[in-house]
Amino acid sequence: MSFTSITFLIFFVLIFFLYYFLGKSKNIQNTILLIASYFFYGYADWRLLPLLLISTLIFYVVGLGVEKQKSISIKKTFTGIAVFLGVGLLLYFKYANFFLQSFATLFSTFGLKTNWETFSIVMPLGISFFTFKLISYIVDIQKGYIKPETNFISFATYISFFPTILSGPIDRSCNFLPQLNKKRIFNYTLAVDGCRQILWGLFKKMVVADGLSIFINRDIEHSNGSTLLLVAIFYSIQIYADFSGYSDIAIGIGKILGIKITPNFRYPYFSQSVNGFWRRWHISLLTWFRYYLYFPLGGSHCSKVKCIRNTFIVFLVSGLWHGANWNFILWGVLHALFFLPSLILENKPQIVPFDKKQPITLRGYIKMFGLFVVITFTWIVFRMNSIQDLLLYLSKIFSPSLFRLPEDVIWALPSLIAGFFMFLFEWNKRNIEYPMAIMSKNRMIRWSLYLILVASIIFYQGKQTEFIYFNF
Amino acid sequence: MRKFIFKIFIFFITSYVFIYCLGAIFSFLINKSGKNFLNNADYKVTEAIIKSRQHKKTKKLIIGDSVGASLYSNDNNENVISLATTVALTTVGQYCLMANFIENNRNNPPEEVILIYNPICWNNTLEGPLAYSCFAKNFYNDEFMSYLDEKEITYISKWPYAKLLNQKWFALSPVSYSAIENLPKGEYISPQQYRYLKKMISLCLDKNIKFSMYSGPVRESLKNQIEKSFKGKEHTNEPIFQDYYSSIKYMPDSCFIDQLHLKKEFIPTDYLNLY
Repeated sequence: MSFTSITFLIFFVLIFFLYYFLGKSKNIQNTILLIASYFFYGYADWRLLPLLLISTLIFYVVGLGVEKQKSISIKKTFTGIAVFLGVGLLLYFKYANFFLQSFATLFSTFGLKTNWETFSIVMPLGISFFTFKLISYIVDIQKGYIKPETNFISFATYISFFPTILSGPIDRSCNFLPQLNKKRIFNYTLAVDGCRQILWGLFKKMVVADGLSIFINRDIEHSNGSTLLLVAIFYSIQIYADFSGYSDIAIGIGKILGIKITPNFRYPYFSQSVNGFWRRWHISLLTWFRYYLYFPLGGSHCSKVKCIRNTFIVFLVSGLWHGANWNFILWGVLHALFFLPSLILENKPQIVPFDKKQPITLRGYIKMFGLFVVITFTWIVFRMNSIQDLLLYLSKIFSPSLFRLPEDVIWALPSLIAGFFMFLFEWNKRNIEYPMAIMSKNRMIRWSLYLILVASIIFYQGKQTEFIYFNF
Repeated sequence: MRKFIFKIFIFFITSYVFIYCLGAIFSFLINKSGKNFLNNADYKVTEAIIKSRQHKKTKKLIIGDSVGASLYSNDNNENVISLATTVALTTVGQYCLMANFIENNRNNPPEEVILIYNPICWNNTLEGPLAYSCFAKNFYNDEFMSYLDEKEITYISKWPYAKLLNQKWFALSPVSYSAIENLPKGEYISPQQYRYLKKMISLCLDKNIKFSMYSGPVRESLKNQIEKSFKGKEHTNEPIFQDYYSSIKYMPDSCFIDQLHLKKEFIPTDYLNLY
């Protein structure tokens, strides 16, 4: 059930009324949310529900168990087992075939033949997201940051919360659970803000991202260099509009339900360094890695060599998190490499949010452009299905056909105009959470913008495609 | 809460009125200019429909699939008018376009109607991909309903948002729905396409117009598959299909960009010497 479908609209309207009219207490509200979330998740494939339920149940019990133990070593053992279980889930469902194939290839290069067969595994939707929530929950209890949640309904609601289960943001339990432990009273201002954010998210997803997909999804073999170069640039725009659009919709839905979800994007393409980019792109994932991988490894409070090692590990795991493919690993390594200069020179990233009063110099603009070029290159690596495809793609770009006219750009024109408008609007409002968070006091201007966005969605939406991050 | 629900209600009503009016304005502008500037997959169909409304004397009227459209893209020729668009219309849509053109030019009908259709497209039906966006949104309306048989009207009336299909804003939006994603396998010629082919022939006979049917250029590698599926099948021994079969011109696979379409440099400038 996609956020952009009519089915979801009907589903959400129904949940909204049940939630506020029947939800006389926090428990009833949480139960409604839980049922809605399991229905939403099971709607994609009901066979995946037991996995979600059982893993939630195990982590709930382990959480209570960790808290009860007085000995730190037993606490750590319990936590270790739970983390192992969480990582094991990911390894099995996401990476088993990748490792089997990779080892078989490795052995065959040494002349050793294997008769390993790959498993036919269906990767559960959102597994990377809910597993990370489960792991962070247990680690936070062990470290004493939070108390375990005694109410199973609340805990299960946190793990399966329908706006975020498929593609995040990965909210930490210390942010989310306290919100479930009190009754949510309808907040008009927050709900209107949520609606605006949903509208902005729908525009980004349906008009910009889906519109560009018509041009982007083409055969590499039959495209010339200049077209493929444009495809790479457009993909950078598409993946941002798609994923940040999804996050905006999820956060907006949360706001209507009275739940504040951690922001996931803060205008990443307006950064001036890779370091700054990673503080604005998929914030919840990078925050997770920072707390549960980078800091335990020693973070930056150690020797420079170790700090560089830690950064490489984080980006390598981050690449692997996206999928079982060498391209993702290479993508992670590339980002780590681009990160290196700021580590060596100890450059501090810009402080968020952007200060609009502070003028940006020409050097700043050049840096921004440079960052876009670098990130676009890494997206090429990210997008390809194999190293062979990547080499073919690059060889096509750097061929004489680069100087031919690009083909079929006309198809992307409306979405490009929409993309330009998106960036312009975001640039103008870059000091706030999302561009429509603070609107003009003039009702005419406000409503005109709403209607323009609705009209663009109706008349200029692209072919509906799945959210890109559903695959991860 | 009441204020919120009221505002949301007002928002939806205002949006609907705005979209409705905008649809009417867009429709007017598209009809006036003959160009569909919207981002929908069926823009060529819209343009073909506009052409089918024009009063223009011509010798030959081309209808057919996208290969036919690529062969006859010259709009400035006095002897040939092409309404060829896409296979997604099936012969049902081709018939509608042809009948509409003949109706609008009843005093000066074309001398010949030529259907250009790829041999692997005959088993397509209105359940096929793009049928919703290309066919239903353009032909399930007051203008074309009279050309459709009861069977098709009933069938489409069960499709999602069928009641909106007659509204201009909806027809112009890219909203789509696919009954099935793959072409059905089975008969070489789907009964639906055969029925409408017969309707085309019969209408042309009535109006004293010559009707011919040709294939566009086809990939060489499909030769065996086409021969196998064509031979010994129902209807294929009829003279019109025999002539059609002998018109198939095979070209090397390297000339094609995909399963059906020729690369630009290999598109013949006057395929059947019509200009």
